[in-house]
Amino acid sequence: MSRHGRLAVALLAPGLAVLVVFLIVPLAMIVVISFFTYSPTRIWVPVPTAENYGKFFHPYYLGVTWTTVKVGLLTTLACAVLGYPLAYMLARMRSRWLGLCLFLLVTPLMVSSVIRIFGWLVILGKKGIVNSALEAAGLGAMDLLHNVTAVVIGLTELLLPFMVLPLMASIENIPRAVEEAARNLGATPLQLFRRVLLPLSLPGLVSGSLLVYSVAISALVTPALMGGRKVRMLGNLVYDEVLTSLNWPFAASIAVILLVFTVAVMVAYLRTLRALSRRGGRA
Amino acid sequence: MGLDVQALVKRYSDTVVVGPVSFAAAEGEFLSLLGPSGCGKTTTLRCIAGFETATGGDVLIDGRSILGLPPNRRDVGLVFQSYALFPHLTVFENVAFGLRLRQRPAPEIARRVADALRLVDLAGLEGRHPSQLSGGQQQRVALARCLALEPRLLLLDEPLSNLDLKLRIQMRSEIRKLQRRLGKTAIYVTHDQGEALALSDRIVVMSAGRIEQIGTPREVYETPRTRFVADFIGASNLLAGVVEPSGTTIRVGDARLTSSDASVPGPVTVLIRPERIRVVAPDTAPASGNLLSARVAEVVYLGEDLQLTLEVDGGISLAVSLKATVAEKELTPGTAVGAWIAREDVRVLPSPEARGA
Repeated sequence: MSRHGRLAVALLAPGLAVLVVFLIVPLAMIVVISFFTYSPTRIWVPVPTAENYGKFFHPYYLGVTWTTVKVGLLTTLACAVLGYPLAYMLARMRSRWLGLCLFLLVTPLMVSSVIRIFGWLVILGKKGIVNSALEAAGLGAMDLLHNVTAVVIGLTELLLPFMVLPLMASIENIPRAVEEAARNLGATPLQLFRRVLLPLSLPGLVSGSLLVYSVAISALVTPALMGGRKVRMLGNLVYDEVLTSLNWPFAASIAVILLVFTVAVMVAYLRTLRALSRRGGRA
Repeated sequence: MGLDVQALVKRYSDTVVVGPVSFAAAEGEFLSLLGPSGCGKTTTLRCIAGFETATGGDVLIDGRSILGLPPNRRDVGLVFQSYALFPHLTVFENVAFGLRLRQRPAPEIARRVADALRLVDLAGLEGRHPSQLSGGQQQRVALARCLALEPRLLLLDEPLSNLDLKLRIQMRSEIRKLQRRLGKTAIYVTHDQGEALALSDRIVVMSAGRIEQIGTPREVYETPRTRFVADFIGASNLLAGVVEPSGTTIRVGDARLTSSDASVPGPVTVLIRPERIRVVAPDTAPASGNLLSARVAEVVYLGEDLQLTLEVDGGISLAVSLKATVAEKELTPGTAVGAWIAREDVRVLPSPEARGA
């Protein structure tokens, strides 16, 4: 091996070791346990079975899966729609307030989940600000929490920076002159976005979406507190199986299914976007 | 009709960046905005293109104001200094961009793109991406992208400044030829006086947001109106002098010069172009013009040209440029010579103090 090769291995080794020990091995263990048999007394016994997966294909669990994917996609969409203008503004900002704006952007990540969600309870709760306003207007209060929308709102707030930061980096790489050239050639603001900004910022949009989606579908605290019993996601299911039912094999199989779903949706998403960008480039 | 810029002003909060400036370009005219960086030439161009909002004044094309129109509806083609090609599109799609926005039928797009690429000599590179092109080729694509739309007006913002010298000179003659052939009115922003002189029908010389002079290349070079124009365009000897009460002679240091420029007594700036000074034998007695006795202080050989510094009796020094020929071989530092300057080559400009007053 050349000296460079050895140096590269030496530099990569610690990171790889961490990945192998704390990610690959536990993941492999989860896959293995998911094929073990549940035992009420010993949690699991090493008897191979596909029963855990079979159990999953029950309408209830499929419903939870659908909710999870739905929450993930809606959160990603909300983050993209809300985040793009924000990312564009921040990327083009030449003011000394940029630092402060970036700080404000990431504050949701610095606040404890419980406190952050408590804020939403104050706004959306039964006696919350929105309901008080509705009552004052004579419209009567309603349950604004405990539905998919509430969970998506909570997750969007939390995950917006994951969308905005990579998007911002992407947009910063688009020279101003390129935008102006498009305008000069007759593009309306919408056409500029569709034909120039969007295709050129696609890498940022893709990485932002993948980050938001993967964090959203494995969310635990936000759906538990804002969705309650009515909006259950796969993460909550795993949590309950591990800590309440102590059915680890089933929890493991749910985790594997969650992983497969994440990867599947990401691949489908990447394919679609690539196809879209190719078409956007031509037409 | 062409372009008419009327008392255009651009102000940022309280700082006036441009103006008021007024100039007009006739149909088919090649007009350059020339000045050092920060003189407002690019801002003026961007006001015409619609990327800056004018604070005051008006911009008319064919007699109609365009200031109310957004950039995409002004129908002026802008070629950027950085080319600003779309990196995700091929050469063909870059040139077709504007035509696609206008939803032209496909055969027309194909034809017009092909025509535009042929104009700039790029036929055959349709499928390449901008990153696969040289700087000169990217420049041509940018030009073709503009020309394909047949805009009313062609705006060029320092389009050659990112090219190397040889290519720059080649491209500038191509741009000029194209512009002549298409008969398009062109506004060309540059800080390179050589480019402006070579390309333009007329030059607008700008400094600190104001117009110093508008004229043909010959006019701004031969008869600059201000010290700034004289200094910025070409090499120059600029000397502080005083017009004597008689009004016929100008005292510069201890020397006296006569000029064909009419002048009123008082302080002035005298401009003498280095190539207009003739180096003669010290004992020549000319019939007319000015003869100053001088000594060669420095000789710089530049191949084609010879650059001399002459110390004239009376404490002035003059830069002189000569065609380098065998005859000048004996010009070595210390040689006593005569510097002969025709009356019409002594230009009288207002002195900087007079201008400030």
